[in-house]
Amino acid sequence: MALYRYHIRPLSAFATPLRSDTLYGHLLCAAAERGGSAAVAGLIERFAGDQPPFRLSSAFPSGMLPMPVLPGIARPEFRRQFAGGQGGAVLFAALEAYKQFRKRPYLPVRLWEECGGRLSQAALFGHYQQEPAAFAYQAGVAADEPHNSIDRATHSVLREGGLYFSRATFYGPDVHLDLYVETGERELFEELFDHLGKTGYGADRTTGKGHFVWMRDESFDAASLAGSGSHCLSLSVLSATSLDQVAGYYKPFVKQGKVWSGFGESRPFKKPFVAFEEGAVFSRLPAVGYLLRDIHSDPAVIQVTWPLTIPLTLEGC
Amino acid sequence: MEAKAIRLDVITPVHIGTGDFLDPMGYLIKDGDGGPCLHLIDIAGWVEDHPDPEALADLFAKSPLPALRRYLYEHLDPAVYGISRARVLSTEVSGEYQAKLGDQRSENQLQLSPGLRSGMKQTLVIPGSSVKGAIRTAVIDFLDREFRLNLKGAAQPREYREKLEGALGRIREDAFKHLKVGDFEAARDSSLIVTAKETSRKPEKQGTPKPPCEVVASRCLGEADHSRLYGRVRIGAAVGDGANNRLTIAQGQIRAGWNWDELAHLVSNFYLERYRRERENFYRQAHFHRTAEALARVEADLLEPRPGEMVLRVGHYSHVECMTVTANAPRTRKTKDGKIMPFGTTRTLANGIFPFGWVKLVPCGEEEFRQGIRAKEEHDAAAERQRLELRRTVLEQREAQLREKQERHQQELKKRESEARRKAELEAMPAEERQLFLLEKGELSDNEVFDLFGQLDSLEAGLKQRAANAIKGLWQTQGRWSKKECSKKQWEKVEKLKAILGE
Repeated sequence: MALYRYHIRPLSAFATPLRSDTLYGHLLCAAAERGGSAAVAGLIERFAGDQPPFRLSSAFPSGMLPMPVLPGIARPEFRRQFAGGQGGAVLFAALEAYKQFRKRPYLPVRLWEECGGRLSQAALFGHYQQEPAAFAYQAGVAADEPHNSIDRATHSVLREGGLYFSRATFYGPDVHLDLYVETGERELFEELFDHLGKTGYGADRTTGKGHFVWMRDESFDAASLAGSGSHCLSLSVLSATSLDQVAGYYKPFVKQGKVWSGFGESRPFKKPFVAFEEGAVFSRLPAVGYLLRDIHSDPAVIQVTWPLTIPLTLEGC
Repeated sequence: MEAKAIRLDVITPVHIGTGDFLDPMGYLIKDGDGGPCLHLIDIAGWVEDHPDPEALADLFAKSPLPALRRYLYEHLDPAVYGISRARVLSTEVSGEYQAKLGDQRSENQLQLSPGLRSGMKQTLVIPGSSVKGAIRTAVIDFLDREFRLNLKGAAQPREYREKLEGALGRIREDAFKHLKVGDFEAARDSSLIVTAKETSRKPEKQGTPKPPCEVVASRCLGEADHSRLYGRVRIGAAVGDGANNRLTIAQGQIRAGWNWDELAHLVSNFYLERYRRERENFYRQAHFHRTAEALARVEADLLEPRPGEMVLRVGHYSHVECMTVTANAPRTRKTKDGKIMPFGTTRTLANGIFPFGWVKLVPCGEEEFRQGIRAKEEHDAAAERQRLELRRTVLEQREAQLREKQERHQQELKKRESEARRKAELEAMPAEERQLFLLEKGELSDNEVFDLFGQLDSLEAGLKQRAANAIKGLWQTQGRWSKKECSKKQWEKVEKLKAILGE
């Protein structure tokens, strides 16, 4: 399977974040729309096996990767390296800067490439201190949109509950997102992805949200993210039927997925499940089990949580 | 599924409200090029940058609201803290603002209704949901008439909703999911502030006061350049067996479907029928003559849409007829005497002249669409650059003034210190030496020099020499040293000095 990078240019606001598991669901729905239930059933079974047709990352601001979840810097080491062994005001200032660094959600791809995928929290913080601007990125702006409902009985605004708000992320004209895809069937992925761009992604598509154009990044050198390592960095939302074998550093969260109504499903809510956020660093992962079943009263409803990972070695650089 | 690039022509002012109001703690109106301008302000940023936060906090704590509004107007520079601006087209709005801003007695809150902005907060937007809702109204009307939905017979809201679901489907399978309408975004800083005047069919009747509002630029208000917005519409099912380019209704006995041109025709008929009725009921009357004249200039565009062009009405003040199906009057409340309240007896007009909300969706080619989007983006980028440049200039001027003020202050301080030191030095000197010091500095008057001359004989030798030398220097510069320049008495004095100096 080869690794590709795609640039996404939003043409409208997005009501749903571009996360890998949601993307998988959209692409499967696209397959169902295009090829019917038999086509999508075949795809689903491939995700259930050990050779998925494609693995997706979540979408990140252009030129960025998710900040790896790394073990913290030991206090004596922090004091020695970043406060010159001193305490008091010097140590305080360094800790303040470290606190700011830990809030950074993304890591520049350029830095990853320079380090050759060999990272430690201390090394990254050192880079941040030297060049904080490198960690800046162009992002969308999340905002609430007010809406009115028209009461068709009175033909005026609904008095109670008529005003409601929907949240969306708005992008400026120059903002792009990166999506990584590992696949041996690029044409299949691109066909489904193209369909998604035209029909829209996420909530409120029918009022214009979620439309985008995309292009494959021909200048991307997959070798820059390849190699070997002691760990792997997940670029995706990850979960599995059994998490016993998972070892590493991660941020868990409870995912509450939804089912699209496009095929007549009237109960939108999936059962919640534990997942790991993008940026998790694993030393061990299960080989299979990334298709979750039994997450809805309809047994046909599934969730794909295949991670796209890149090798990482935990040390300084 | 068919994707269409659409140009939305804003023919009359469109106001999409936010459910919120702006007050003068959130905006300023100041005169600029082209007339008064309303500036949305970043008051939090201004407070943060204020050089005297304690004084400001004191002011906010102790001052009544009108005084605070006046203070903001006088001290907040919109070039630095303005977020966006809108031209104020109504002198009534700008005049009232100026008159009542600091009026301690005024109960006028000077509120206005802002337009809906995109998430980036800088441009007005006509959301796809508004356009889609307007299309839906026309389709519901068609279904009610053609398929006898009998919406009029629905006594309860639940019954009404069930009839609609019976026609269009429940929310999860609604037929309108195959019509996707995107947002239409206006150019930056192109919005306008107008009054919203309610005028009755009966000229003697007073209208209900309404706050001024922010509208998208329109052809009616002469803003042709910024009255064209671009967006996309997608109609039909995407792929598979149901792939088509139609909005299809297939619920129960109801079978209907339209491609874009057919849908445009249906929707335009619905709204144009209401336009004509409104014109007959209101704008033929004498006291609406200005409205009639204004509409006459744009009526050809409205009344004669070409195939594929869709006329509709969106936003606030579209009036109940444009949201009402033909066979069903809106439910209004009862008056005190039990009668049903009448509806549709007034019109709310922008600046008392222009009806709100008329737009036309025009399919355009990809090239025009791209050019339109690019022109808007370039305009917005230029507006942002201009704003940043102006901000930078104002901040630099401010810093220069501050530096100058600080330098003057430092110089003043130095001067005072220097004077204080000198005063102390002088006070420490004996009187004769002080006189001599001042003489050497040229700071003694003629009388004081004369007095010192008179004291020469009482000075000790060193001081006498110094004084004689200093007086000589002074008289030389004054031209009172050579014999031919002097009077007899002056010459006697000169000779005395020469004797002291050994000349």
